[in-house]
Amino acid sequence: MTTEANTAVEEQEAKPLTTEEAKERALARYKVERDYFTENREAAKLMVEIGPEWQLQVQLLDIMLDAKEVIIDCVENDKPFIAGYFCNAPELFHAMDLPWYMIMETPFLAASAPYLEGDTDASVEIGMSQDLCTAIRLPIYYIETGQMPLPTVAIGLLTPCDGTPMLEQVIQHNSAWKDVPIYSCDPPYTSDERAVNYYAEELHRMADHITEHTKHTYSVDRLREVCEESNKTYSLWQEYNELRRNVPCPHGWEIGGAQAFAISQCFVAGDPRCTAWFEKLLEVGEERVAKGIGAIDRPDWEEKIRIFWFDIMPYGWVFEFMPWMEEEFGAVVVMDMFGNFPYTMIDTTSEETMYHSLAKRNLLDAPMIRQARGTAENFAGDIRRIVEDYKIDVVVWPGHMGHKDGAATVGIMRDTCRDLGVPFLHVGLDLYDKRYTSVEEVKEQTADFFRGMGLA
Amino acid sequence: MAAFDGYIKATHDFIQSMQGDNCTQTVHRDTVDELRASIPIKIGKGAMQGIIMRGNTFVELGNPLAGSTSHLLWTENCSLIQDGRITLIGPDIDTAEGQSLPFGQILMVGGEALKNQDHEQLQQINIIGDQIEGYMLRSSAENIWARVSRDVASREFTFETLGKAMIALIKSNRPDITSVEILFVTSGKKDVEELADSVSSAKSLGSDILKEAWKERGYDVDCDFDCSTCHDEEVCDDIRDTIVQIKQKERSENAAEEDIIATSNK
Amino acid sequence: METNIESEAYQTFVEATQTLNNTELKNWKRDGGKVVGYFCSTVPEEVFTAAGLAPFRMRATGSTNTELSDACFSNINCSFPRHAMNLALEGEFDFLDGMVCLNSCDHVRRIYDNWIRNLDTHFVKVMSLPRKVEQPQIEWYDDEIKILIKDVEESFDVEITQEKLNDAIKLHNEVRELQKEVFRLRTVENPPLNGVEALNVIVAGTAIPKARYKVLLEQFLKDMEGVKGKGGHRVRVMIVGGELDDPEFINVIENEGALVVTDSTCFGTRLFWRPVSESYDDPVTALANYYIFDRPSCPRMTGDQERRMDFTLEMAKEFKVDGVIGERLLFCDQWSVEHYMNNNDLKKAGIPFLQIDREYILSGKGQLSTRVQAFIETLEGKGIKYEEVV
Repeated sequence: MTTEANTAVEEQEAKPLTTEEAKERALARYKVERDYFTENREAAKLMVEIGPEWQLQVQLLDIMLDAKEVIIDCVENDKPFIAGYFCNAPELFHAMDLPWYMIMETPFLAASAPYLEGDTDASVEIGMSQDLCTAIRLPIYYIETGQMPLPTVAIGLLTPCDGTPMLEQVIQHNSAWKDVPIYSCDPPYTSDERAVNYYAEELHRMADHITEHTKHTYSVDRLREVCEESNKTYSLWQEYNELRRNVPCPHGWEIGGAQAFAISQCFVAGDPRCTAWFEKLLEVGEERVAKGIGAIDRPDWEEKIRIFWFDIMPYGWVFEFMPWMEEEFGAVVVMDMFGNFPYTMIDTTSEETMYHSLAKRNLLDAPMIRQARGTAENFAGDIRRIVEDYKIDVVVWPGHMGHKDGAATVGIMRDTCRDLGVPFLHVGLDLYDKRYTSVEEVKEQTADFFRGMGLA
Repeated sequence: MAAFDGYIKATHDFIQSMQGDNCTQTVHRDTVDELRASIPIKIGKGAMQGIIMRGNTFVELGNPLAGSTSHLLWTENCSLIQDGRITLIGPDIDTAEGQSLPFGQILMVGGEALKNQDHEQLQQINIIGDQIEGYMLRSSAENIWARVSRDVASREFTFETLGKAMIALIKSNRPDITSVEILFVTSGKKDVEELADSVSSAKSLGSDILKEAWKERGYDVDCDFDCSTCHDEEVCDDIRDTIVQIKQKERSENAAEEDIIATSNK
Repeated sequence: METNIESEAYQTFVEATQTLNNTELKNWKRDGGKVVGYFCSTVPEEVFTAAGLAPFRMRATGSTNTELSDACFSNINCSFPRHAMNLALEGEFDFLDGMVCLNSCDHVRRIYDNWIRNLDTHFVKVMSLPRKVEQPQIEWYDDEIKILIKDVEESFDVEITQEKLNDAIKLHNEVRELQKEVFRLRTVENPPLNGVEALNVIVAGTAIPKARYKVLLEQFLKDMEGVKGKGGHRVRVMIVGGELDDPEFINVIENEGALVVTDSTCFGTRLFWRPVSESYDDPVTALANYYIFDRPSCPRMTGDQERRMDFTLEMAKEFKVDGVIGERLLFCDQWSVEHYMNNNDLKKAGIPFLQIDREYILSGKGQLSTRVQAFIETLEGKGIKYEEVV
C-alpha cells in the first residue's frame, strides 16, 4: 500500500479531507484489511487437518471477519457503531447492541500485513516523530489520512501510556473526525476502592454519552445476561490457563494466549460465540495435557525453556521469530502479558455491582493497563506470581520502543528476577516493525542469552 | 514491628466470635519432621506433579463468585501467635465433594528476627506452588483459589492435613519463622467477606512496608544478564560503590571550596 | 551568558538557576526550614508554602551523565528523569526533606517507583493527576489535594489551616502577578531583558522560598527601570514546549539573532499567566480548579488542545512574535503529537513553526544553531498580520 499511502500523505498535506471523502477512503482501506484476513482464513482452512488448533484459528478469523463485515455494513448503510479501545468495558457496547471496532486494530491484529511497512513510513512522513510508539503512530496516520472508518461515537482510552491520550486528541483535532462525539474514561493513577468507584462513574458517563449520541441503550437484565456470558467466557479462559502450567505446556505462542485476549475483549465480549470458542480451546488443551503433548506435537521435539514474554507478542515479525525459538531451543512462550489471567469476575447482583466489577476489570486487570497505568507494583508482582505458577525459566522484557514507562521499570523487573533466581532478558525492539531491530539481531541476542545462561 | 499485631488480634476476635458447632480447632506443636510424618501426602518442592484438571477436582476452594480472601500477617512478637493452631470454620473437604466452597485463609506467622525487609518474601509464603501433593493454587492474582484432587481426598486430605502441611513447609523453608497459626473459613460468602473486612487495610499497610523495604536495597549497574550467575558481580558492586564514593568526595570538596569562597567574600 | 542587567536580585536568580541547592535554600535550611521537591508544575506547591515548607521544582541542572540511573531506566527514556534520578542517586538531592511526584508522563512518573526503591527520603508521595479537565476530574483532584495536605501534616507535624492555605494562594498569586510584569517588559520592540534573562528569573522562582523570592522579584523590577532595551535582533520568537529550564538552550537561539520574547512552557508562562481564583470559599477547591482547568494545560490533559492553541496564539499576538519554536525532549510522546498539531494549527494561522528535538543536557549546539539560522531566514521580512489571526 506504499503508493496509496504516499498519495494519502500528499493529499492530506494539500487539503483536509471532507467527512464524505474520509468515509469513502476509510471504507476502501477497511475492505483491504478484511481481504487480508479473508486470505488468512482461507489459508487456515487448508491446515485444519493438521490439528484442531487450526479449527480454532478458523473460528477466530470467522468471528473477526464477521465483525469487520458488520462495520462495513454500518458505514455503507449509516447504522450507528463505535470506534473504541481494548478495555472500555465492551460488555456495555454489546448490551447496547452496538457494533464496534478497535482503533488500534491494525497494529494489534494485522501487523504482518504486507502494507504495514509502507504505512509505518508514511506515518513519519505526515510529521509523526519516529520515536513515537508505532502502535500509536499507525492509527494517527490512518485518522489523519482518512483511512479509519468514521464512527457514530468514539470511545477513547487515556491509559496505559502517553501515546493513547494523544491519539484521542488527534481524533478531536482532525477535520473529518472533529464532529464525532468522543468520550474517554479518565483512569486514576491509584488502585484503591476510591479509584475503582471513580472509574465506575466514568463508565456510567461513557454509557450515557453513547446513549445520547446513538439512541442505543441497555436494560439491566440485558446487561446482566451479557455479563453472565462474559463470566462464563472468562471462567473457561482461566481454566484453560491452568493447563498452560503443565509441563510440557500444551500450546505455544500460536494459540491460547493473545487470541484469548482478542476474542474476549476485542470482538464479542459477553457473546455465546466467544464462550463456545473457549470451550473448544479448553477441550483441545485438556486432551493435549492428558496425552502429555507439548507445543509441538512431534516425537523428536522437547520443551526445554519455559518463557514468560512480558509484553504484547511481536506481531510485526512473530512468524519469523517464535517458531525459531521453539524449533532451535525448545523455548516455549508459556505465558505472555495478554494471555495472563488476572481478571475480576463480574458481580451481576445489580447494575451498580456490574459497573463496579467492570471498572475493576478494565482499570486494574486488563493487560498493559494493569502494569503500566499506575505505580510499578504489578511489574514486579506479576513476574513473581507467573514465574512461580507457570514454572518459568526465563522472563523476557522485549523492550518495545513505545513502552517507555516499562523501559523506566527495567531495573525493578531485573531486581525481581534476581530475587527469584530467574534470568531476565531485555532486548530493545519494535514489536511491529522489524527494521528497528532486525529479527536476526533479536535472534542473535536471544541465542547468546540462552547459551550464556546455560539454558541451551 | 507492630504493624500487623492489631490485625492478628482482629483475627483472633473473629475466631472467638465464630466459636460454635461449625468451628474445629487442633493444635500441632510437633517438629517439622514429625509433622511431615503425620501427613498422608507428599510435601516439598515438586510434590505436586502436573496440574489438577476440572475432571479430577474433588472440591474447589475460593472461586471469587463463591467468596475468597487470603492474608498473611506477621509479627516479631511470637507470643501473639498460637503456634500450631489450625482453626476451621465451616465444612471440611471430605464433606464437600463436587462443591465450590467459599474460602478464607489467614496465615499468622511469628519470628523474633522478622523485619520490614522480609515483608515481600513473606508474602510469597502464600504461594504454595507445587509443594503440596494434590493441592493446586489456581493462578489468580488477588484471591486465593484452590483445588483439591480426587486422589488425595480419598487419602483423607482435610483442612487439618493442609494446615499441617503448610506449617511444616513454612517452618522448613523459613527457619526464622518459629510460630505459625492458620485460620480457614468455608462457612459462607458472608463470613469470608466479614473476615476480609476485618483485615482489609492490612494490604495497603503491606504496600507501605514494601515501599520502606525497597529503600534499603540499593541499585545496580545495567547489564542484560542475571547477576547471580555473572562472574563480574563483585566487580560491578565495587565499581558502583566507588562511583558513589568519588561523587560524594567531589561534592564535599566542592562544598568546602564554596565555603572558602563564601568566607573570603565576606 | 552576558547581561547588561545590574541587579543583585538578578545575580541571586542566576545562581539559583545554575545550581540545585542554592544559597537561598541553604539559608532557609540553616534557619531550620525544610524543603520539598516536586516533579511537575501541576503539583500544588501552595500546599507546601502553607505548611511552612519551601517547594523546590525538580531539575537536573549540572548533571553530566546517567551512569547510576542507567540501572533504572533504558535508552528509550527521556534524558530529564534519567539525569534527575542520577543526581538523586549521587546524593545531590539530599537536601530535600520530601519529594512529590505525579503521573505527569511515562518517564517522570517512574521516578517515584525508582526513588522509593533506592533512596531514603523522609516524605515521598505520588499524586494521581487526572487526564481530563472536566468537573469530575476537578473533584478527584480536590480529594487528591486533601490527601496531600493530610500526608504533609502527618509527616511534618504541621497544621495546614484554611487561613494558611488562603495566605499561601495570595502569596503565590502576588508572585505570579510580578512575574507577569517581568514578562510584559518584553512586549516592546526592544525589551530590557532577553529570553535567557527571563528564564533565569522564572526558574529561580521554583527554587527559592516564595516569600523571599517575592522580595527579590520586587527589587528586580525596580532594578529593571533603568535598563536599556535590547536591540540588534533579527526576529522575535516564542518557545512552546515542556520541561525547559536550561538558559543555554535559549542562548544558542538568541546568539543566532532571534530574540525569545515569550513562551508557553512549564518553566514559563504556564506557571503564572493565570492566577488561582481567590473567590472560592474553600482554598482546596480553588487549587483543584486552578490546576485542572484554569491554568494553561500541557498536552497530557485531553480535550484541551484547542484552549492550549488559543493560549499560544494569545501569547504570540501579545508579544508580536515572528515565529514559534516548538521544543521537545527526545522520546516525549506527548509533545511529539502536540507539536504535530501545533504545526498544522500555526500553519493555518500563518505563523511559521520550527520543531526542535533535544536532549535535557544541551548537545549538538552547532546543529541547533544551523536550524535556528535557517528558520530565522524564513521569518525575516515576513511580518505576521496579527489582526487577521483568529
